[in-house]
Amino acid sequence: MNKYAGIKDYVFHDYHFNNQKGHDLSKKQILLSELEKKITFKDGMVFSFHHHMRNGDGVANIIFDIIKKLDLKDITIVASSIFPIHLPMVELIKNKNITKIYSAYISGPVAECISAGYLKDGVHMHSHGSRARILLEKEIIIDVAFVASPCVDQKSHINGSQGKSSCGVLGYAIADALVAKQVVAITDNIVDRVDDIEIDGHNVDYVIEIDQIGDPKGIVSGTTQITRDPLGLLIADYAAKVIEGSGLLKDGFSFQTGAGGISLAVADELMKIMQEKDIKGSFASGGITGYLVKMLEAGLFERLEDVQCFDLEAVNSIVRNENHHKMSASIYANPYDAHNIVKDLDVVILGATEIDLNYNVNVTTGSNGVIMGGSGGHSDTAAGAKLAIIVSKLVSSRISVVKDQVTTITTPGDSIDVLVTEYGVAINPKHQDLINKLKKETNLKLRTMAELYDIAISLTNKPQKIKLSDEKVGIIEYRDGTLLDYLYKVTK
Amino acid sequence: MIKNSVAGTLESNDVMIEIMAHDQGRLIELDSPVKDMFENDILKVINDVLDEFKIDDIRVVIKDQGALDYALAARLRTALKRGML
Amino acid sequence: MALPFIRSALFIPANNPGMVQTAHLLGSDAIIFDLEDAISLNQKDSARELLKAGFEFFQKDEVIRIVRINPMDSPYFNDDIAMVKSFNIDYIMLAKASISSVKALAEALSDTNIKIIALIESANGVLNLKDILSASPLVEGMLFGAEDFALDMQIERTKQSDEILMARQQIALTCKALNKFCFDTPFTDTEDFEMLNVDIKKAKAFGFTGKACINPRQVKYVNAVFTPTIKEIEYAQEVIFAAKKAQEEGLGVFSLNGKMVDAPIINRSQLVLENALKAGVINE
Repeated sequence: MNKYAGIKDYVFHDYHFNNQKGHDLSKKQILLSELEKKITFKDGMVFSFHHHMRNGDGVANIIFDIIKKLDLKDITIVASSIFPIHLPMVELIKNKNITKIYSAYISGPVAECISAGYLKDGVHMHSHGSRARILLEKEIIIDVAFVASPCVDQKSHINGSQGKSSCGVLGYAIADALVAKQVVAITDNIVDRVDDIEIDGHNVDYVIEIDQIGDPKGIVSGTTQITRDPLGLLIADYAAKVIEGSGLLKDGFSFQTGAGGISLAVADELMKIMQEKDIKGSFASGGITGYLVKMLEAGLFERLEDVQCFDLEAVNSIVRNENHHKMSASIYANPYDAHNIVKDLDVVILGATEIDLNYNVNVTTGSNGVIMGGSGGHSDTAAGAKLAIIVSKLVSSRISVVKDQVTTITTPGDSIDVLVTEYGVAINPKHQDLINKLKKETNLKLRTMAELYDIAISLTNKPQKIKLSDEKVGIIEYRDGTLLDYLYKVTK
Repeated sequence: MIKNSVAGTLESNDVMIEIMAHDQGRLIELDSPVKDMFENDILKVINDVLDEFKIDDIRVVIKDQGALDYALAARLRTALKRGML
Repeated sequence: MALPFIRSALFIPANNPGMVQTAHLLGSDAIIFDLEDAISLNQKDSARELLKAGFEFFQKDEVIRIVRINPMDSPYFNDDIAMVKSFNIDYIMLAKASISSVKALAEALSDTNIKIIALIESANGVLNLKDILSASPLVEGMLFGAEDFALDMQIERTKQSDEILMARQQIALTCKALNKFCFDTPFTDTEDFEMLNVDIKKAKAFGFTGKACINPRQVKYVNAVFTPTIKEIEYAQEVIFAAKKAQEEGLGVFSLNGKMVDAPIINRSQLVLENALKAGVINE
């Protein structure tokens, strides 16, 4: 079901080569203070960094220090995600040091700054899979890739799952390391030999050792607990019934879920059913949490395909369990990559800020148009999975998740199959078979999206339309590079 | 005659409403996370209840947490009944 | 007369908008909107006002609505009744129910369709149950409040519940004799689902027709135990089928699997199938 042309086998980034010679660390290691002499930083350059350190990142800010110190202008930042810890970017954006940004997810002060219109050449938002495509297809050339590296060895090989700042896997840094003109590895842990090579030393140009590349507490902060909210549990119960009723829950089942409270509750329900019915799944993928590790260890899946570790359990598992695999963003979700794990997914559980009558989903902006997220893997997994299920409360604190039209399209409606809420389940009309099957075989409250919308409006009243300005501050591209939507300036 | 009184809570889906004496019309102060979307609806509910109680001069301070119309009305009615002498 | 099929009744504090507006989604057969013990004395007015507005705003749907009002000897009794009676509520649950308070409530409700559930929570309540339930035809059922009962008895309340064994059995016996439904006392440890299940099964075994819940997560466990099982349904279907055949052959009493089947068993099977239908476990 790959409708994308030019499927490639990017074999050169296959993880599991262990006989690569790399290059001697002694030829690459420099001090941070020497970097400006080694690399001729110029206006207009493109810098990249990955977000595996999450909100505990101590490396990205080094980039911003350099930009500020040298007063570089018209810099483009290609960051797999941007978090509140990247606050120093705001000043640089306002002063036009940074004028363009590529990212799959942006939250915090940088997001607000972009929505307020300060980023001169706008933001280019994409999915995780798209980022790999953009880099590997050289749609943008990275001048310097800054790679926060939990472990570097004497041959300059990089590994993400060793050391005090271990983040488990460096899935979002692989493409950068392969295509950037110069790769700077910043580490706090140099060893003789890494346990496994994620980035081969011959890709690395410079290695810099600092005290700490990140705050471990911030690094493994991605997961929440299973929700205790009775409505959240109800939604999880309904979602599990949809999955069971779909007929997809059998041996070989493949699954992905988010790290949020309701998503974890769905995983919990599925675990119970799979144990009861002795079902052995094939793989679980994506950002991996301790919950999925539990399912792997319970024998419910043969393997985990991990692009990002959300918590310490995932980090520990990836080290000790040979069935817990690391994967790059390209292998995960690049539609041009022959592997493109998401195409083999049976079910994915996703969230939404907004969903509309055409099943289009917004996870990029709030209803006021301000950026507060981004696709991440959302549009990738929705496109790939046989059943893409959105779990969300319909109404909470007077806000309805169903709108007549989303403020911003992150994921187009034809890749969204089901919405599960506390008021019932809406199934995309293109799945008449599934609708009939669930009607016949379950007690689920099946509704149309329009009915859910009406229920929401009857509770909250119709919200006043928030008028967005006409001034564009960025674009959202779909996985194949086509334009999906614009982002508009929001003034207070 | 209105004496200072409060009703409701700051829990999600609820609203805390405080009323005070004020002699120049209806002064309504609204703090709400859904102000953008529902300011008009919220003010209408408040004013309708004040009409119900025939009050023209009052200060109403609203700390909303996404309460639906029925809860807004109920909390204001409670505050008014507590505050009217 | 067939008793209403109410397996679970979930307590909801009436002063909490978030819960009041979503209670009907949580899967219980009935909601008990609580104006009594869940509400502090200085918020009784607030709760009553909120519940009133809620009943005006929300349509009645399939979920049975019960309001627990304050006892007759409280300053809130009359205001509670005055508010509730203007709505299409199914039952008022009367705390500390006694013969006189039931009569007073019934009198106040005589111009409505609202029925009464007696909350029995004292030694006298258990002893006088027959008379309390008979005090008015509006009384259709009762709830056993074991925590307050234990306080009244000055005994310790335990999970094993041996101390309330006789009270429970007496209650179930009395309700059955008077054809009233009876809810068992809620299980207070909201994290212990294993013991919850044990407790619910005990209640069913004694003859309670349902159980109260104090946490939404308990609801599905209660519903499951009080829903006819596949075995019970299949047996009931066999009985009905055999009864039809026997009727065609002109036989009043017949034998099924070596056991005698007469009218009471046929009636009970009919009830099982009706309840199974209501619970959604069978389609007909």
